[in-house]
Amino acid sequence: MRCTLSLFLLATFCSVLHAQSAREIVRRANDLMRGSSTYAEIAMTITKPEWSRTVGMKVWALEPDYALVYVTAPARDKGTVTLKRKSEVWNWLPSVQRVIKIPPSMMLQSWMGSDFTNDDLVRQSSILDDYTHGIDGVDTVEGHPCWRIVLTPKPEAGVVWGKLVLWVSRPGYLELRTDFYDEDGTLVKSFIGSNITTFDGRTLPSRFEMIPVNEPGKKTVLEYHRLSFNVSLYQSFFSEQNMKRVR
Amino acid sequence: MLAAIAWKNVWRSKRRSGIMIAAIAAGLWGGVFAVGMFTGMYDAMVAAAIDRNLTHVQVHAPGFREERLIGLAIPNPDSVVAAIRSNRGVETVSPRTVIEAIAASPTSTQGVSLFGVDPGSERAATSVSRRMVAGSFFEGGERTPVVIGRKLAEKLGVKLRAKLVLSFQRPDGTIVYGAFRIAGLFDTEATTFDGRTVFVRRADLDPLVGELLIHEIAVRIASNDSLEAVAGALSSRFPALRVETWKDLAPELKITAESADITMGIFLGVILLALLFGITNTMLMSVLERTREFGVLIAIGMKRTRVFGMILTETLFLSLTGAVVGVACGSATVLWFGTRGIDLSFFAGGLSLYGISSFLYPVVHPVMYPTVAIMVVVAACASAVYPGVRAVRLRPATAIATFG
Amino acid sequence: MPNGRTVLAMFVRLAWRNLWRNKKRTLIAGGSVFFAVFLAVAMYSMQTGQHDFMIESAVGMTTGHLQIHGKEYWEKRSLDQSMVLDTALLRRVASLPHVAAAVPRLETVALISRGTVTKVCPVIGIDPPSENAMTGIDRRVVRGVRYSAGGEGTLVAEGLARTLGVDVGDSIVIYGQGYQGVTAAQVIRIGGILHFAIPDLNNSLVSLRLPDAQDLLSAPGRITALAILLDSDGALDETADAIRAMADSELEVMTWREMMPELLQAIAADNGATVIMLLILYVVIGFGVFGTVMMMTAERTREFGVSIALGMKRRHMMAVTVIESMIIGMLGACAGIITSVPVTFYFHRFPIRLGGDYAKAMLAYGLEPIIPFSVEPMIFIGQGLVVLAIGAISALYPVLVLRRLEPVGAMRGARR
Repeated sequence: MRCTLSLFLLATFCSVLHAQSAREIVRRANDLMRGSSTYAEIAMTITKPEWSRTVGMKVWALEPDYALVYVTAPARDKGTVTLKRKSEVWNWLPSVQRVIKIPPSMMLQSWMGSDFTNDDLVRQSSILDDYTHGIDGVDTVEGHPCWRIVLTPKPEAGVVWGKLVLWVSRPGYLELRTDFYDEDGTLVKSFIGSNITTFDGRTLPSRFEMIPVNEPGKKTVLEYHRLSFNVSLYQSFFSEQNMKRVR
Repeated sequence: MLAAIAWKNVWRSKRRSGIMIAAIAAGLWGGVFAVGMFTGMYDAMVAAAIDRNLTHVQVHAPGFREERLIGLAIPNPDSVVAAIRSNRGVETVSPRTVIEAIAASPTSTQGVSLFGVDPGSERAATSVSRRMVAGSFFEGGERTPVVIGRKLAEKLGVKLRAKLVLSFQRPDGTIVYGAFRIAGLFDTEATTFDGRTVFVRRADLDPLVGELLIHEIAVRIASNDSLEAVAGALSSRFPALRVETWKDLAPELKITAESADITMGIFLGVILLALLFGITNTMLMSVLERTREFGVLIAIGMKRTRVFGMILTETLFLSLTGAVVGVACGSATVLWFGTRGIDLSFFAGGLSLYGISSFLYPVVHPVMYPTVAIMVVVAACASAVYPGVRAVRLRPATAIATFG
Repeated sequence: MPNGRTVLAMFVRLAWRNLWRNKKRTLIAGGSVFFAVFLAVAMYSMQTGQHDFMIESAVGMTTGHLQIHGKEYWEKRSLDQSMVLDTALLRRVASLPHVAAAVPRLETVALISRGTVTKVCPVIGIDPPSENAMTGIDRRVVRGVRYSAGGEGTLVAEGLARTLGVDVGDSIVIYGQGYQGVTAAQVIRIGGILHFAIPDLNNSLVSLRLPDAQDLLSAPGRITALAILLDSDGALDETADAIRAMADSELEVMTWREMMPELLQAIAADNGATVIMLLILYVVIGFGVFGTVMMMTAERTREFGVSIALGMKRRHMMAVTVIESMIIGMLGACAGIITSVPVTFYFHRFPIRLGGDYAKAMLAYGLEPIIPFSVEPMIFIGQGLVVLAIGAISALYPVLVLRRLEPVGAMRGARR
């Protein structure tokens, strides 16, 4: 009897330990990609069955509420600026010299033709607070030893997924792959990190692919060419006036 | 005296009178049945729209119907709802929070109209709760249940008990997300409605919105006849709000209803013409047959006007008897089909796919019986005029000599 | 012993003579058939005409009878599913026998903005001449310059203009996503204001000339749909097949039946009701015809009695009355059809016009307040045959009477 009880306690203790460490792993991996403020130069390649195109951009971000995106390519879109402040999004359109606020009903429109929507830019689901985390085992991704971590959304969280499976590299806390499952356990999309590089003293994947499973021929690839952390940025930078000035 | 002779004449020739009565009764039966069909079809169409979501009268803050902004809510909704409830002729009231929201599933996101309702009031006010094809309208014990159209569920790629994340902008501009479980799917046969309508309990929605916001008060009244009266009373009571009847809210429904009225009028006209001609023919035959009889009557000194009057009175008796029989048959037919329904898919291919609505339930408003009956009696008497004139123009000597 | 043929000829001669012996009676009986056919044809022609009109106005205002679009466009409504406007295909489609108009459109959803007000609106690029042939968009211009009058092109629906606080001559910003996700943004001057009765359209629609829309959306030479208007819905399936055969498999060809299932449903329900209406009419007509036949028979009972007493065979008399009925029925039906042809053609050409508030409401919806008639040949033949069948059933009555006739009683005047 005592033996059973202590075994039970031990099991409970271990699972708590595991859960905490799983959350810790996710936190460290998440922090690695973010700083309190960041500046990035990214090439986003959108591939659809019929066409593909690449959008170049510069991104300034002040976590968690502010971001400003300046489009550098292609020529027709050059100069377009997207500003996110909390849950609102504005666009600056150089060709018509106007700032337009995106109304709620347009938030589902894809952003610059990608698989991301305006809503994705502002949707704040926290990978730490909205899920419970558990280590599912160890694995290898592209030769990197990884923890395989399962994230289960908390019941009241505004998350559509049934579960997320994360592969985080064991020494470096690199988030190398995330699989998104629906509640029936069907894989919906994968987010894959690769091309490990060092930016601003941090070793990170520099290429991310978003691949929807059910839509063959469709994917979005993000390639980071520059990434700096803790740059000096203030809230005042994320203003309507600055949208028109930024280069 | 004339009436007595006429009455006796009617029953002297049972077969001839029988034919006349049958023809008139058939005409009246057809008229009543046709009116029943049109009224049934029109009533069903209007009732379906009213029952689905429209209700008889809706109250909004000015501008809400055009802009559909979350901030355009009705001020002091509780007192307004209470005041509407206490109004005469009001049956049920369902206050609704109406928000343009986004529904997200793992594979898709869709723009939707989110209705926050009190399940009890909504169940009493509309028919969605009776159109469930899976689950129920907030009858189970789930936490944060949501009821959506089957069409929307298809677009989102979700099934019963799946999770649905609803998000919308609060009046202060912040976006809020809520996780709900699909507790029921409905199918009302209205594609647009089923493709973008989401119901949640106001008890679950209010905490997300952060305050009590009522954008729409749906009012169901006891009888459509008091529609304008109730709407008038409400709009003078709440001059700052917009009170609209279903006719204002769905003008296309009004047009359809009126076009049904016109078609009904034309069809009744055609039936009356057919009847008119049928009776004229029969009467003409009967006059020809009775040539000798009229000849004798005129020869023994009966005035021609009286002979004419006699024929008309006979027709009046015949048509009145026919009217009684016809109304009886017609109302019996309408009653019979009114409860069982006529399956239109039996007459028109391609309808069977649509289930319940392919049934037509004839209805006749009581006022239509005397209307149709009077029309038929007048038509019958009118059709006796020409044969009567023919009879009166007879020359007695020739008439009597005619080989009958 | 005369053979069958000469017997038949004799019966016909006899029947013919009987008919003309009592012209009045024959005319009345024939008249009842004539009138029945006439009414049934008029009724059915009106109902069919109304259905055709319903289809015509619905497809004419919106989708056209047929549409060609890129695969999956109808479902996804994205510019990614747009197609290249193939002028060779357009020419071949336009030259098909029943095609009245082929209307290219480039449609998307974009933000329309003025100052701080922004609305999400459908934006549609149109080809004015063909669009006018189908939806008559110029008729909806309430202010500003029509396309046909050389208007510069951007027309904005009335309700939208009110929301934005703009009028003819003002500028608005159109901002959306073009083909392949390219930013589409332009300041455009409003050339005119459109009015629609349907609130959804009146509160949102923006229309541009097709080349302007293609330029705005970075979709040169592309359209999202080619709407096709036919001169008659009857040619729908054959035209759809012909177009499917000439369009390549990357395109989908849809009929209004697929695009507007609710209209199809409404018409099917109405068709069901029409059949019941006709049945009611047949019952009323049937009583009229049957009444006439019964009277005629009653009147001739004595004549029948005399003939039988004189030694004529019942069988022969039955044959003669049946032939008489047939002749009356055929003459009446033919006369009915012949008379109804000019009448229905007249109402087909010059439909009944409705007046009053209802007409105004219909006009506001862009519907002509008329009740047109259809002149489908099947209507005349079908209704003629139905009435003949009713007549044939009624004609059995004298045969039954003859079978049971007692010559002596009949001659004594058992007319009643």
